[in-house]
Amino acid sequence: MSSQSRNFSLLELNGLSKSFGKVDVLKDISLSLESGSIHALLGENGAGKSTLIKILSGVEKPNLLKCKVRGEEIELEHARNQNVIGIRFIHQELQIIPHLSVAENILLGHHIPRKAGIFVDWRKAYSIAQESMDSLGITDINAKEKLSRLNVGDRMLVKLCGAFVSLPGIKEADLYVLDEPTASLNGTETDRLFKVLKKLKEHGKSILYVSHRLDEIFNLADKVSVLRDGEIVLKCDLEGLSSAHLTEAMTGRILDKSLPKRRTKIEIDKVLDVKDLSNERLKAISFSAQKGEILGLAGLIGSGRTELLRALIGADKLFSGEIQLSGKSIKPITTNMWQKKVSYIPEERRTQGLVMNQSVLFNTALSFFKKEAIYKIFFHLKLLLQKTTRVVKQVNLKATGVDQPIWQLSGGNQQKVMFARALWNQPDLLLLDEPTRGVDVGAKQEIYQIIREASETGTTIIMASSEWTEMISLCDRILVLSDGKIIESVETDGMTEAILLKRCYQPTTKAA
Amino acid sequence: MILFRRYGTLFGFILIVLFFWIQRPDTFMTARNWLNITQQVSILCVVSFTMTVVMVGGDFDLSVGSMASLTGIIGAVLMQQGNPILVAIGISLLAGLTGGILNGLLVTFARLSAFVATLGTLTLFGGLALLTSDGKTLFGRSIPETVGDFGRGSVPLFEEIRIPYLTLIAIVVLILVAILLRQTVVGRQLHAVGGNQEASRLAGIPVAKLRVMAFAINGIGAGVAGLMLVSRLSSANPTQGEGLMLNAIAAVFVGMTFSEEGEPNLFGTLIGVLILGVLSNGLTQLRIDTYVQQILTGIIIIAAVMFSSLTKNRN
Repeated sequence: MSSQSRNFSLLELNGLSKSFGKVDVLKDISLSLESGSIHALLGENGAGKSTLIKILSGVEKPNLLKCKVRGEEIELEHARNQNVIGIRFIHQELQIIPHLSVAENILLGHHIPRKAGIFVDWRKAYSIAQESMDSLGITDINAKEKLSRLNVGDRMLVKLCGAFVSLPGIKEADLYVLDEPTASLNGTETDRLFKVLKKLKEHGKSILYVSHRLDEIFNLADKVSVLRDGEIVLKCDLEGLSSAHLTEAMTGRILDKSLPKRRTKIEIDKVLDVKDLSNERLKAISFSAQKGEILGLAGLIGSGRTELLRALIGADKLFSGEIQLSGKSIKPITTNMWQKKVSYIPEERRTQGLVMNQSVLFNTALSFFKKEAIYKIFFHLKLLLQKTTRVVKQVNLKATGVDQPIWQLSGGNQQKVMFARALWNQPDLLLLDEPTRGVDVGAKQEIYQIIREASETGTTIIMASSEWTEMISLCDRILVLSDGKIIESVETDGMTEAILLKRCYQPTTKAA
Repeated sequence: MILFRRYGTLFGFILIVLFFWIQRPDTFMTARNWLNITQQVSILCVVSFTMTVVMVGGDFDLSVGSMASLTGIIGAVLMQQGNPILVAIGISLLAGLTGGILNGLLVTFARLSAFVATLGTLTLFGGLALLTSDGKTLFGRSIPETVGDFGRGSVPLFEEIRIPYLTLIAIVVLILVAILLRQTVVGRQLHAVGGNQEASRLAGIPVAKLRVMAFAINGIGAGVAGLMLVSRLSSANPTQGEGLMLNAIAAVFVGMTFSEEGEPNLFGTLIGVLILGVLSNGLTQLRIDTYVQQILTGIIIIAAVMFSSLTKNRN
C-alpha cells in the first residue's frame, strides 16, 4: 500500500493508569494508533480491555494520562468530546433501535435533517444514509428498511455506517474503536464486517480492534498490543508472530505445563450415538462418543457448535435425527435429558444458567429439586443442603456459605456453581459451551482440573470453546464444524493451534 | 438502616395503625374491629395470595376480577335453578380453573404476553358474566339463605370473640399457598422460573407446565373469591368482582418491597392487603369521603413502592 509512508500517529496515549480503590486495573499504559492501520488490542477477560475503552470513550476517568491527538495534547473529558476529536465507538452490545428505519439509526445521535425547522426531511435523511453506506461498499441494504428486518450482522454494519456519516458541523471520524464486534455475528456476517473494516483502512482511517479471538486478529490486524493484568506485555507488528506467541503473552504461561493431561485410558464403550441430527441450523450431524472421552467442537462463530449442544440437551427443536444414550434412544427435551444424567452448562451463564436473585444452594440444586424431593412433592431442604455442601466442595467454590446470593460471587465462582450443578448426580454426559468464558486465570485452571477429573471418573464430555489452547490440550478428539455440518474429526495428538486454525478456516476461505 | 430499608413498608403500616388508634382510641384497636377488618379484606386476600403465585412465576393476571364476577354469577344462577349448593360451588370453581388454564395456555403455547392474554380474557370473562346473568343482578330469593348466612356468620373462638367464616377461608388459602410456595418442589421451581425463565428451561425445569399451573391456581382463587362475594353480599352482579384485580396487584407490588431482590412474597402480600384494609376501615371511621379514600390509597401505594426502590437503588 502506497499510503504506508504517509502514515502518521493519530492518537497517542502515554502513562495511562487507572485504579479502583486499591486495585490497579491499568498500569502505565502507552498506546499509539496510526492512520491507515488496524491495531488489535488483545487480552483475556479481566485484563483491563474494557476499562481502557471506557477511558477512551470518556466514561471512566483515568488517574494519570497524557493523550495526544494528531500531536496535540488533549483531555478525554467526556463522551461529547469524542465527536470533536473524531473517535467513534462500536460496542459489543449494539446501541440501536430496531423499530426505526436504517436511516434513522444511522443518523442516531446526529441532527436529523429538517424542513421548516420541525418536519423531518425524509428524502435528505435517506440520501445521507444511503451515501454513507455506499461509501463503505454496502449496496444491498435499503435505508428505508426497518432495522428489525435486518440480520444481526447487517445491523452491525448499519451501526458502523452511523460512525461514518458525514454531515455539516460534524467532524468526520478518523479512529474507530470496535469492542468485540463479532460476539454475535456468524461467519459470513463477520467476513462482511472485515471487508468494510479493510476498506476503512484503505481510506486512511485508524481502527482499534478489541478482541480475544486470535483467528480474527490474524485475519485482520497489522499491529497488536497485548494486555495482561493491566499492563501492555507485548506491542509489535503482527507479521511473523504465531498464535502461540500471542497466547503466551495473553496468559503469561506456556501452554503445555499448565493444562492437566489425561492419566487414564478411554474405555471403548459407546455412551452417545447421534444419527442424522438436523434442525434449522444443523445439517445431518452424526457422531458418537466413548465413555470418559472429551470431545471438542471447533469451528468459527456460527458454525453450529452452540446449536449442536443445544440440540443435544433438547433446547432447540429437531427436524429429524436420533440420539442414543448408552444404547437407548432418548427424546431430547430438557426435562428429560437432565433426568437421564445429561448435564449442560450454557454459553451465557448469567442469562441462560443462573437465577441471579437466588442463593448458591438454589442454583446448584436447581435441576434436582424433584429428584431429591420428599414423596416427589415436598422440597427437601436438608438433603439438598447436604448434597450441595458436598458438591461445592468438589468444585472448590469460594463463597461465604451455600446461602450466599449468587450475584455476589465472581464470574469464576459463578461458573463453579454451574459445574456443581452439572456434576450433581455424576452425569454420563456433560455438555459444555465455552466453559471458561469470563473466568479469571486462576479459576480457569481449577475448571480444567474439574473437567479432567470428571472425564477420568467416566463422564463423557462434549465441549465447545473458542479458546484453541484449551481445546487442544483437554480434548481427545475434535470435531470441526462449518455451516452446521461436521467437516472432519481430528485426533488432538500432535495437534497445534495453527493446524486447528487452518482446518477451521478451510471451508470459508474456499468460499471466499 | 438495613432493617428500615427492608421493613420500611412494615413501619409505614404500623404508623398508619398508630395514627388511627390515636384518632379513634375507643373503637379502632379492638378485637372486634380487627376481626371486622379481616372479614372485609378476606376476599381480596384470597385473590392476592393466588395472584402472588402467578407473579412469583414472573407473570401477572388482569382477568381475576371479571373471573370472580363470572364464577359468582355461575354459582348464583345454578343455585337459583335449585341445584344443590355444593354442586353450584363445584361447577363455579371448575369454571375458575378452566379460565385460569386458558390464561396459562395463551401465555405459554400461544406465546402471548401475560398483559395481552389476560387483558383479552378480562373482557371475555366479563362478557360471559353479563351473558350468563342476562345483565341482571341476582338477589333476594334467588340466593339461598344459608349462603348469605355463611357470609355473615362466624365461629366462636372464646367468649365474645368470633372468627368470621370468610376470614377462616382466607386463612386456609394463606396456609395452602404458603406451603405451595415454600415447601413444595413446584413452588421452588416457580421461583426459578420467575427469576430466570431461560435458565430454568435449560436446567430441565418444566417451565410451561409450571406457568399454566400458576394461572390455574389463580383461576381457582378467583372462583373462591367470586363465591365469597356472593355469600357476603347475598347477591350476584355481573361486575361485582371488578375492583379486585387492581387491588390484588397493588397488594403484591407493595409486598414486593419486603424482599431484598424485589420478589413477590406471601408475607409482603398479606401486609399489602392489610394496609389497604386498615386504610379503608380507619378512614371510614374518621368519616372521610370514599372518593378521598381512593386518592389516599393511591398515594400510599406509590409512596411505599417508590420509597423502597429509591432506598434500594442507592445501595
